[in-house]
Amino acid sequence: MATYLALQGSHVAALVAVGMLHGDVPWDAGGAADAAVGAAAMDAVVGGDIGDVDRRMGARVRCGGPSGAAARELGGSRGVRADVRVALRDRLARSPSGPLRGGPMGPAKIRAGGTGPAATRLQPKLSTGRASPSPEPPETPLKPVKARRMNTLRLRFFAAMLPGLSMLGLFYSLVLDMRWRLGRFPESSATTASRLP
Amino acid sequence: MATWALPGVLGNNGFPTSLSHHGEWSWTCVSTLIGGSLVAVPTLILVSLVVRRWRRWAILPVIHGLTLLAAWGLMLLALDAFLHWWWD
Repeated sequence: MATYLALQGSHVAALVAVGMLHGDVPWDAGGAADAAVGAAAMDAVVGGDIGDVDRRMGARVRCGGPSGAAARELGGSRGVRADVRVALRDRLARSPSGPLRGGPMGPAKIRAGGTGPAATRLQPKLSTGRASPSPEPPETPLKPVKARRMNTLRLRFFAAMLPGLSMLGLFYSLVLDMRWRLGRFPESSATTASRLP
Repeated sequence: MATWALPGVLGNNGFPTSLSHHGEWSWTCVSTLIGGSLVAVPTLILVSLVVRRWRRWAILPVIHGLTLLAAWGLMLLALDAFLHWWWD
């Protein structure tokens, strides 16, 4: 019983963990910018100042998925993906016009620019618009963000495998339990019948 | 009849209560999981493939199904005496 409860408990815990992470990782962020910017997008969404970026840069949102939905709730509109907007936000933070306010999570932790078509399209706006791009190169390495995304992938795969693994664990726990408590395995009726003269 | 002896344990007779429950829960869980997956996995895969927005999730029921198959295969490696009882 303890094994069963432990298995089911770990199953539920893993599902909860995956569910929590699901809200954190923008799976749709790979189109217009790289994964690092996508993760920064979620930071900004959590920070709650994407609408500010929109207002200052005239940038707009067309990001789908959880991050896009959150961005729209925060005042974003259609036009540019949230991850690109975060790149703008980060550049704004270092622009002469002054940094943007940070949300509960603080300013975006990753200084990275988008590399996709939407980001390229926005580049002239950055250089000629109200804010100028910072000459500083991106400082934060991308590895932790990519590692985080990979961890989420692994977690989801593990969650998909967990029912099968639980079943296997339950089955063999019964084998061990029976062996431990009885010292032998009971006979099946077929075995018993086969021993009949 | 003289050469045939009654087995010490037959079916669930003589099981401690906890072991009996363990066996019942195991059987219920395994049969429910396999039976449910036989219906749910193909359905989820089909739906995920049809609905473009969910296509990226199609791999998860596939992984689930493959893991169940692998677990099933590993279950068949259990001791014969136990498997006799299990299927009985």
